[in-house]
Amino acid sequence: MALSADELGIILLSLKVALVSVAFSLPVAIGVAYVLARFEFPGKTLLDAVVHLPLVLPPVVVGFALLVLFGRHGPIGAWLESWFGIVFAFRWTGAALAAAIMGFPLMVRAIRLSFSAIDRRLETVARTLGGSRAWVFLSVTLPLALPGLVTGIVLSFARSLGEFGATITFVANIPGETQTLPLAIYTYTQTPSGDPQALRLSVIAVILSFVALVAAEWIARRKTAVVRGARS
Amino acid sequence: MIDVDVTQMLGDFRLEVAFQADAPIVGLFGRSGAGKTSLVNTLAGIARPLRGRIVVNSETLFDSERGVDLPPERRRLGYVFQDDLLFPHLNVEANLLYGFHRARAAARVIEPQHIIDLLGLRRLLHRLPDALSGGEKQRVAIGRALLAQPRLLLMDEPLASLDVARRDEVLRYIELLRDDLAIPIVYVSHSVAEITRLADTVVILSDGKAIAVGDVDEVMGRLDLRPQTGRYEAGAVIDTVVAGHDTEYGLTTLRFDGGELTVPNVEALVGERVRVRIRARDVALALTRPVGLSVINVLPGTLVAIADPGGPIVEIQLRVGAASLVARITKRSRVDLGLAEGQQIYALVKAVSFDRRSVGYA
Repeated sequence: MALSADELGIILLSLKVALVSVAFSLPVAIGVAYVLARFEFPGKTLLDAVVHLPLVLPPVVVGFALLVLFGRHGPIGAWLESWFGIVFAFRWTGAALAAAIMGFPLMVRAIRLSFSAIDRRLETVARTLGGSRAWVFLSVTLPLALPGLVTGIVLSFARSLGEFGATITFVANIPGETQTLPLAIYTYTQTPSGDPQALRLSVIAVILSFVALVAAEWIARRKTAVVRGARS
Repeated sequence: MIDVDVTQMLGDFRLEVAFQADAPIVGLFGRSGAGKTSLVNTLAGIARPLRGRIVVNSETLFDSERGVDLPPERRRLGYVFQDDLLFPHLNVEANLLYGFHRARAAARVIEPQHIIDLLGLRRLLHRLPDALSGGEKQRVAIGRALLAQPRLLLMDEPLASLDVARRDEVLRYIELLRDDLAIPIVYVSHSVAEITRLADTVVILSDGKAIAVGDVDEVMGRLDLRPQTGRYEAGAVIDTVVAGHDTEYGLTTLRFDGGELTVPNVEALVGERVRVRIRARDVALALTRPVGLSVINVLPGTLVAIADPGGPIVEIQLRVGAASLVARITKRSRVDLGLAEGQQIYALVKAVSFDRRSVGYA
């Protein structure tokens, strides 16, 4: 079952979209999770709800909202294009943005849980030992939240690979640009006698997700071992 | 030198403490709920007082009038908690060095190798906290605090989560530190035995207020502080020097200002300082020097005060040389003997009433 050039292109594009979406949403998710786990402030419930919105909204609605906001004539899209030359509409970057937003609640939830599970007195001790807030966060809080970080990354990555509704609404289904694995499968199912191709791509999707899970598990163990064995 | 004067509200609880103390080990004593931990958190900069001033070794850490409020990481106060709170993701060595790496290079006078040897941690260095016993964990926690190069070490009930055998182990190490390093310690405890064994100066906290400050033997012997220092634990502390050992009978003679005490063998060299604690219920009184008695320790003294809380038992405070002693006797004995203040009297203390827990290495 050798991969055709088209299939390889679809796989690489899907991986690129998923990796970029995870890489860019991770720092934001860590920040939001930390704020939600540690602070009480007016509007916290609202922030929490907004973060969770992509989880409960129909993906098409999210995609449409992105189209309105980040399209070339949308308020944010137009501004980004004129100031930074960044375009999301009908580009693979838009697919990554859609994937990042759909995976965001899963990432925040996992990370927030592990922040909440940390004994805060450990951070207090670190402060009395001379650690500034920032250093304590990097040297104590983040390492102790590692299991949650890995879980969050895996969930969000898997969600990105499978993203369909928001992507197709926001950036359409453009082969070689925005046609990720799920979109390609959908396309074949809509094509007469496309079923064998759809099946091949579905098998690839299963393998890809499976490999991602196993790799994440492996990294999690290795990372944990490294952190534990760290000298200073 | 510690100079504290702080007011803080914690819900309905008002902490209003002022004291000055200058001693190698300052004991902070009080029943649970007296405000000990709140006070220590305030010193460490974890909790902020409403108003006041905290000065340690002439360095102002907090002063509400001058707007000084150093964050915990700049106060340089080592804090050893009731639980060891070692970083679970770091091995012993990395835990020990956590604060050391954060200290300014010029301030690094306490060397890791020295602390590792002093606290017997060498063979534990590459273990994770999970793999340590309770006593070992607490020793690592103490070492970690010391290596952050603190100007003062705060210890909040460091023995509370340990079993009895481990307590003695850690106590010996704390005594070692006191003798080896010139870092003052604020030692928080509700245990009279620990405070009298370790502390030189004691601050007694009650209901959020410092109700007494002074030498440990004087304060712990005061009858008016019994509600805080405890009836059962009532007793006095005497600093002594080892005068000699009787190897035939396994006894040690301790000399102090008011005379000599014979106790079961103490493992200390002649000339070493040893602190003993004599419980009030182990002291009997006699008007004349008794004969034909099994009690070895007969100390002549003066009756200073009588406390009669009502009930069958009274407490008598004696002065023996410069030392203070407390005896608990029945009210009937007091009447029978016709005891009155200023009277000359003999205190009788059985040698066997001294046990390991009442003899410390001062």
